[in-house]
Amino acid sequence: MFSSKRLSLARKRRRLTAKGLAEMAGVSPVTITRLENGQNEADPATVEKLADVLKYPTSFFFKEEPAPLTKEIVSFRSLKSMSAKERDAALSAGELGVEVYSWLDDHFNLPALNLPSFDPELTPEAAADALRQHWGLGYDPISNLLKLLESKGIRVLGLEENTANVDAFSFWQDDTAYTFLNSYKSAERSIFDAAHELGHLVLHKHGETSGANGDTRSVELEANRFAAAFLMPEEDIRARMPRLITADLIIKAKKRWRVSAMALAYRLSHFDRPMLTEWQYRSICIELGKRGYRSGEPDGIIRESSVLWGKILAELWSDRKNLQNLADDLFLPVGEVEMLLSGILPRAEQSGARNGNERPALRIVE
Amino acid sequence: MESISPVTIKDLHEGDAHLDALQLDRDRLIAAGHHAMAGRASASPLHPSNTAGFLSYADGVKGLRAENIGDDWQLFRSEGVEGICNEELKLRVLFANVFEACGEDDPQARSRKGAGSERVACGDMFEAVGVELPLSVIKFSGDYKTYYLMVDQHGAMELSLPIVKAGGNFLRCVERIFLIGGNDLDEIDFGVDEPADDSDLDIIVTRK
Repeated sequence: MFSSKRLSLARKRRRLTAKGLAEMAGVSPVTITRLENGQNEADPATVEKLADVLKYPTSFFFKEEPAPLTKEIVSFRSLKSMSAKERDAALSAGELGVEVYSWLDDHFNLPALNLPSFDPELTPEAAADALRQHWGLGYDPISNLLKLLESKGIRVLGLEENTANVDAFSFWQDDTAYTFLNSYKSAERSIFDAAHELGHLVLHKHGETSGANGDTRSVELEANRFAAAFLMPEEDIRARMPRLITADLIIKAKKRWRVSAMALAYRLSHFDRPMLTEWQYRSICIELGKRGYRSGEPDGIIRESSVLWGKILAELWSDRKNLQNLADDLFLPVGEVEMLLSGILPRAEQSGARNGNERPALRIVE
Repeated sequence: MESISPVTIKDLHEGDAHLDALQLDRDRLIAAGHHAMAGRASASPLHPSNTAGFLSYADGVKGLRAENIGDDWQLFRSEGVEGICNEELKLRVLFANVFEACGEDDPQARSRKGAGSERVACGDMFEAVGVELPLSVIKFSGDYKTYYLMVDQHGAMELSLPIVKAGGNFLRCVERIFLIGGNDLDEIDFGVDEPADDSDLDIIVTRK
């Protein structure tokens, strides 16, 4: 049976309005609206046209209804600066990501979720500390956050949205935690994004994270506080950092916690007992800005990549299967599967400039 | 003085057979050791320097109990010595942090054992087989064999039957069963620019 929701999903993935799709497919806008509302049955010729324009296999539109994601349950960092098209495309990517992981769950035993519920009254800092203790991390720096998340059963995928407006997002679906990461920013800032999303998963499981009328600012600040405390435990910082802190020292020290220089400076100045005075913090920020640390991360670390997907692809390849086979099983265009792995797989060819719509080649790294 | 022939079992299957006879399970012992490792990790750099060892000991004992109590294994507490015991087999298992487990040399406890440990850990089994212990060993008559789950800071673990000599050290082990080798989680002397190691994390993916 034709799925009206799948037509809507594919259209939103392609960032098309109903009118835009109608023009490209040579049908009336009303036809699209009625199909998406389930008011009309789709005739085979129309489905063919739509599939051709959207570049989705026809069979995609006859799969069972997708699990709907709404903006109310998904944590978007920059909701205000995001266009509706960007938001809907990202939500659609989330729905496809759930389907990809559902396929993985059918074929592989993956790490079980190990993300306990904490008292909602906990402060973000206390929740970060509690999670560290639960995972047995102590106060050590986290050497690979992406690997840590995957090992604890959090489902991680990538985004290739070509926009800074969708940094990352996360959501709970059927007691499974999902996080989507954008590799648009530096490796250090992507790590902070991942920790921020972990904060949402821990802190905001039971409430709205970014509803249109919700108080998005406070939940975003809470997730940031969680991320800072989780990545940079105060006890470890106090034990390591000397009394005299300079911009040079921050540039050196940030490698320990794998965060941006700005994030470390902010952390040092925002403890209850700050290690930087306001004046010192301001001076250091100016100095870091002069050296390019405001817009980027010179002398940065290597981007983290998915260990889980590396193993999955190796397993598939041992059967001479690749992403195309996975996409075929899911009735998806292979480009959509590639998009979901974008930025989380090792990219040897990343050094070259990306031209237009060219995608970096995906390869299995042993 | 008759010498003791210590037994060291490194082979997995041989070790498991031996553990079966003791009504112990390798995985549960290793899990107990992981309690200790997690305890160690929760020590903050701002804690006193001996905190990691204490938390490792406390959670190691907790782990022994949490993983093993039930059926014939019960909580054991006597003279300040804490662990588990099996009255039917006349066995006790205590916990010890050691400098190196699964090494060539017999493990050495990181902290001196108290008088209670000496009494608990020196049964009359040597006398029973006609072995004369050195004079320095305090002997107490008793029916129990007292094993130690020995865990080092790298995560290596063995279940061993030591002689605790006067003064609180392990003299040597009569029996050693290697449980698991440690990984390379050396205690890193952290400089501010040294990232940590994540070799303890593993992601296991298997086919259905």
